[in-house]
Amino acid sequence: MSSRIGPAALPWLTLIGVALFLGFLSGRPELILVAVPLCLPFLRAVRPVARPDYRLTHSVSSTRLFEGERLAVTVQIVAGSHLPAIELLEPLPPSVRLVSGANRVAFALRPGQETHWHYELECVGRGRFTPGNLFVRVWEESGLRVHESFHREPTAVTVYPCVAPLRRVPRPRRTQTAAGDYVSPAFGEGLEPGEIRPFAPGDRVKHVNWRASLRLGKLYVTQQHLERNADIVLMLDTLAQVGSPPASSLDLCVGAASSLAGAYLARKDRVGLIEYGGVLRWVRPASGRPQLERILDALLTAQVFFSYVTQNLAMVPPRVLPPHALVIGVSPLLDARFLTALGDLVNRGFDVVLLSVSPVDVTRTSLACSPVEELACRLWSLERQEQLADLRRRGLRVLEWHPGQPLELALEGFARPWRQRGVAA
Amino acid sequence: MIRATAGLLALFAVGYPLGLMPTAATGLLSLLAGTFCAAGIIGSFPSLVALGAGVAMLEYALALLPASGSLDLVGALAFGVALSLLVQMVNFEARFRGAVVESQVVREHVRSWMETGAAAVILGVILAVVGDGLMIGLPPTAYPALAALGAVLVFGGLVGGMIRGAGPPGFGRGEDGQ
Repeated sequence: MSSRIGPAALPWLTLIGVALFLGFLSGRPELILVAVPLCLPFLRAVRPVARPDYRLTHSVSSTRLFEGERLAVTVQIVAGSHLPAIELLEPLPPSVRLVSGANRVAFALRPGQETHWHYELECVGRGRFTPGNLFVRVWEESGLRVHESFHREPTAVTVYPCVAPLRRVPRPRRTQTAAGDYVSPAFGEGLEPGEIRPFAPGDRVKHVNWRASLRLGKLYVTQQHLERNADIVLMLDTLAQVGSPPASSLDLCVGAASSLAGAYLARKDRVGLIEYGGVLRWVRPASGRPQLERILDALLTAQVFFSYVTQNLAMVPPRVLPPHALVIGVSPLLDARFLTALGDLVNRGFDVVLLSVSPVDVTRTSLACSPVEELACRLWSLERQEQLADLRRRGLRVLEWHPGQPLELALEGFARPWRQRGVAA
Repeated sequence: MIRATAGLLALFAVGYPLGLMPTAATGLLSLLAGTFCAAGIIGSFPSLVALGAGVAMLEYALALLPASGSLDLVGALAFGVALSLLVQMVNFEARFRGAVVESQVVREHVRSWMETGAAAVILGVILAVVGDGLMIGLPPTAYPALAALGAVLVFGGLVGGMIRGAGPPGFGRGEDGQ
C-alpha cells in the first residue's frame, strides 16, 4: 500500500500562498484570516497517519459459463479501522458487459463494520478472464491524502461459445461402423425396412414378408438397414476476420462450429475439429459429452493468427481426418487459401460442406451508413454471390449464413430427411 | 446537491467582494472568477475552481484596499470558509466522478467539512484576538520582503506539489499502487 498527497494539494497550496501573498502585499489582515480555513484541511492531510486497515474477499457466482449468461460478483469489505471513503474499482474486460450495479464504488465504514458490494456482468464474448483484481483507494476526509493498493484475488472464469440447439444439420453421405442415427446402406438388425429377398436358411421368422410370400408362392424376407453414426470434422477458418469482438466474423464462425458440434454429438456422431489458420490445431474425433467440452475448449482460444505460410492438410493425421468423414468448413471466405484446402479435401474424396458466414453483414454493422459504404457492401455481396455460385457449379455443397438470421435456417437446405435424398452411400 | 451547494458558495465568493466595493475592476474580476468557478463546478475540475478562487481572492484584496483600518472579521472568515468548502466540494466531485458513492460517504464528508469550517472560525477568532498586533512592529519598508516571502511560499507550493507527485495514478492505469 502506498500513501501520497492527492492531486488537489497543488492548487490548494497555491491558493494558500496567494492568500498570504496578497495579505502581506496589501497589509490587510483579512486575507491572512481567509487563509486559515484553507490551511486546516491541508494541515490535516500532511500529518502522519496510520495505514488504513481493511479486508476484502472477492467471489463470483460461477467459473464456467456460456456466452450470454450472467455472472454475479460479490466483494465483502470488512473495515479494521475508520475508512472515511474506500473507493474500489474492478476493471472489466471487453468481453463482458455490466448489467446491474457498478464496477466502481465508494463506501464509508466504521471499525469492524462489514459491507457487501454486488454487481452483475453479462458475458457477451467467449474467452477467459480473471476477475478479482481490484484497485483500492482509501481517501482521508480532507480528500488531499490517498492510500492506494491493488488487491489480487484472481478467479479464472471461462466463457464458452454459445451452443445453439439445431434440429437439422447437414447429413453425411457416408456412415461409420458404430451405432448411430443415420440409415446405412448395409443390411442387418435395424429399424428401417429395405429390399425384400427370398428366404434363406438362418433368416429369422419375424423378418418374413408374409404379403409378398403369399403373392409369389414362396417365402420372402424383408431386409433392414442398419443405423450407423458418422464422423464429422469441423474445419474452422482462422486465417482472417472482419469486425471486432464479440461480433467478429471469427466469433460467428466459432458460434456456428460449437452449435454444429453440439448437434452432431447429440446424434452419437464422432466430431473432430481442425483450426485452419496461421497455425494448424486439431481435436481428434470422438463422441460424447467430454468431446463437446474438448471442442469448446479448443474453440474458446481460437483466434486469427495471420501467416504467409500456407498450412498443408496432408500434415493432419488420418486419425484426425478419418476416411469417409463429413468435413464442414466454417469460413467467411476472406482468404483464398481456405478454399484451396477445401478443394484439396474434395479431390481426396471427402464429403465436404462449406458453411460461409457472410462477412458483408458483419462489416455493414460496424460501418457508418454512408452511401459509398453501402454501395461497397452491395458490390462485395454481389462478388460473394458469384463466388459461391462458382463453388456450387464445381460440386461443393455450399451454405451461406447471414448473421442476422438463425443458423438453423441457413442449414435447412442440407437437412432434408434421408428418404428424399436416398440412403447414405 | 453538492454541485448546487458549491455553486451557491461560488456565488457568495465572487459576490461578496463586489458588494464591498462595486467598481468596474472588481466587477470584471468577479466575472472572471465566476466564469472559472462555474466551469470548474460543471466539469468537476478542482484546478479551475482554485483558479477562480484565486481571482476572487484578488478581487477581495482589491475591495479591501480603500477600506479603513477596521477588521472585517466575520466577512473574512465567511469568505475563507466559503472558498475552502467550495474547493473541497469540487475536489470531492472530481475524486468520485464515475463512481457510485454510498450516502454514508457523503455524510462523513459533510460532517468533516462542517468540523473544518467550525474549527476555522474558532481559530480565526482566536487569531484575530491574540494576533491583533500582527502588523505591529513591522515597518512599512518590510512589506516588500514579506511579499517576497509570500511569493516564495507560492513557488514552494508548486515545487513541493511537483516533487510529491501530486497526481496519483488513475484507476486502471497500472499496478504501481501496491
